[in-house]
Amino acid sequence: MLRQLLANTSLFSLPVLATCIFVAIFLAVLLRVSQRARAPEYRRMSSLPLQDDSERRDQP
Amino acid sequence: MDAATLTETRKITYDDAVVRGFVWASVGWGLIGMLVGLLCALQLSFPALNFDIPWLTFSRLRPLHTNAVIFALVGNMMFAGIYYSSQRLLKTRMASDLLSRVHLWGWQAIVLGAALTLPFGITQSKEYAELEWPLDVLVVLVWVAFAANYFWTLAIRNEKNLYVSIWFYISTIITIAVLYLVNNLAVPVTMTKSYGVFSGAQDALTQWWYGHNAVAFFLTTPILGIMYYFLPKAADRPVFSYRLSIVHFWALVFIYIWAGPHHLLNTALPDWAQSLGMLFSLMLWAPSWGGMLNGLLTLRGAWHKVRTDPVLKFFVAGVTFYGMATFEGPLLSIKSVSALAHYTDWIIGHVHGGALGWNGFMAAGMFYWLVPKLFGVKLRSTLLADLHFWIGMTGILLYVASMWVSGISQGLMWRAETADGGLVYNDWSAILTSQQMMYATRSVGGGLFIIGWILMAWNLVATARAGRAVTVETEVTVLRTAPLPGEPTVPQLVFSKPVIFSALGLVAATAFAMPNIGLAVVGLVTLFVIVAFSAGMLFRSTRVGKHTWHGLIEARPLAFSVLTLVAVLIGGLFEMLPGLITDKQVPLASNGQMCVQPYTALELTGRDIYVREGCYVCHSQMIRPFRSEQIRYGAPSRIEESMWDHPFQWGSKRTGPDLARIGTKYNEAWHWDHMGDPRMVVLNSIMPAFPWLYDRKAEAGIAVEKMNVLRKLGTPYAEEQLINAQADYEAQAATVVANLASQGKTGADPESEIVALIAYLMRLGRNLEPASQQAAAIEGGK
Repeated sequence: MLRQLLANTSLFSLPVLATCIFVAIFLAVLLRVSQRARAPEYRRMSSLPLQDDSERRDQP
Repeated sequence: MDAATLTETRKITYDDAVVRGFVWASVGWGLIGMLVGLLCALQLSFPALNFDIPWLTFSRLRPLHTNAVIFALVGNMMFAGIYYSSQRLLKTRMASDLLSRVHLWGWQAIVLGAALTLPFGITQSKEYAELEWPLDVLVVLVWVAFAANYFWTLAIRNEKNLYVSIWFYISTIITIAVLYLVNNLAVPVTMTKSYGVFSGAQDALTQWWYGHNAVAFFLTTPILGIMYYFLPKAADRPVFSYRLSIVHFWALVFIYIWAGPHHLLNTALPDWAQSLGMLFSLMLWAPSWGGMLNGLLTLRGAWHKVRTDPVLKFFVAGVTFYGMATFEGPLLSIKSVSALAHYTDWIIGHVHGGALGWNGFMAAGMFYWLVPKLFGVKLRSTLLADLHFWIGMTGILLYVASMWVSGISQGLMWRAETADGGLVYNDWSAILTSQQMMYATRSVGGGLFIIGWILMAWNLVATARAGRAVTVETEVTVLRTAPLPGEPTVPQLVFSKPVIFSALGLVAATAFAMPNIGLAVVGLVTLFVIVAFSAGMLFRSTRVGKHTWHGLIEARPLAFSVLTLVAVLIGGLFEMLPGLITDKQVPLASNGQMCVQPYTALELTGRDIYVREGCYVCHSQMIRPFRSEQIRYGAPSRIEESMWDHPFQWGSKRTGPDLARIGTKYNEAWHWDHMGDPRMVVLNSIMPAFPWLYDRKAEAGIAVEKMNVLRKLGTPYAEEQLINAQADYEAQAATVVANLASQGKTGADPESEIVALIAYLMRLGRNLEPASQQAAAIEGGK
């Protein structure tokens, strides 16, 4: 049966299939990451650019 | 904060002088680069605008335009962003002020060097890698200074974890170094002339591996790093999803590098390389859009600010253009779409959507945010910045839309066939003439964008003059986290489960890509399991405290850089190695004669003039296997035809027709007239005239040195060819002159450049002919 399947599969369909799998994984990952992060480290890191607003600016 | 963490406060003075230097360099060089672009655009409507001056001619200025915009405008802009944000994200001053200055001034010297060499025809003719070897050496030295300073700064940082922007900067520094070194490997002949080590298809593959990834790692990744820092600051919101940025980064740096061959679809490049390029280009859709969404969604809850803040207007539009350009790019990489779009103005439209919309607008947004901070005052005129936005936006839309229309029209007109199988549009200039309205619209669009840029320059200078350069001093809280018991070492991290599984995934992917159906299915199934497992693992907390695996990697720049390098190299090796390690077999005819003869001394000299004048900017030498192209140009190009071409001249744009078989189409007299005054031969031609070729003496004296270098690089010149190079040169030049005379063109100087160029043009299309037939053709005057 496997041999029959392989014989009837076009090589061209594999890249298409791979692209579909890739996009599906991407969407799954997107869904996963859009949920609230549990690790507190992510929250600290994502706010890192906002931490330097307390700079003191001295004119020379 | 866990028990093992110590807190300490430190005073830091940032080095913002270097940031100011890069900002002004970007604004100034950018204006010059875009004005050169406008002159190029106008010359396509009014060819006489080169005033018959060599260094004002389209084919020499276009490389100056692309180099100035890429390396001067975007380069200086990204360095400004990198220096500003890295110091703040790493909570430390740059490690060495001296190296920062070497970088700043060294880079300006390179840009100046480009401006003083490219218009004068000193070029390698490889797109975005045109600079000749002395400037390449300078680029390497300056880049090493930049990299040393950057990694040194990473080593003395006061923030343990590296923020996402830093990852993108690291990938830029590492990858550009690899790309630039490999693509510019060359052997010098003189101070202003060298031959690259690769030739023909290998050169094409290497060049577009470089060219594509210059877009990826010079025009994209550093700007994404800038987006991840400046957009949250301008919106006063943290990035939408830090976890998405992890996926965005790794997927982008891994996939981007594979996609280079999409610049060579339907050419003589082997099919496997073309399919690889297409497939990975399609995959790029996902991470690119992931990054775009992450940028735009950062504005959640802050969209109302876009109405009033010009900085956010530019950022939002810039990120949106990134999304559009990264949608269009993979679309254009589909073989059938490329068949229509490649070589047309559509590609110019695509490129400018990214360059003006993504790079130009991100630069403007960053400058409007940064300059007031650097000079301690408010922006001089928000109204003017808004005006800049709308003028620039109108300019981009006019530019891109006109190039879409003209590009798609060209593609359709090139292939249009009559009912009896002939071409509807035999006359090339008729196709070009029908696009003139679009060319004018493009010039208007580009002109508007430049007006916006000038408004910005005035606004920024006025802002700076209203304030004074400030020195920013700050106190940072440094967290000194003591290693937790059982925390993995760098080697343990590099060989940890996620990395091992990713590597296994790559092996499976390779098996999948093999042209063996059984292996492919096994590879596919394994790949699916492993990728899913790895993706899940990436986010799972390790057994070590609350740290994630990626959090641990982020805290180790060395491990991070090694993994980035590996991710980038894998694609490069898979794409390049099979082509580069294949032995070059000299194809022989049945009678034992070499099929593809190396160029004679005169033809080689003529070819170098072809390269110097930048003919590749408008003419391809690659006939694709389409019926319409066979009718128009002749048999499709074969890979061996260009096997001794250092550099390859397949080209990427057909403003003029393909020249791969031009030698078999016209005689010497036709080229003589056409190069001197194209409109004398083709009434509506927009090709510039090249009158200086008739007066200048060709460099016949160094032909033998050139042949010597080429022989070292593998071109099969016989010993007697080198010994007789000068005599052969003179004999063939005399033959060309005699042929011209017999065709009514008397008085040609055999030492002139035009004679050498005509000899080269007459050779094109004869590479597969046996040597004896070629010689007969030269003797017979076609």
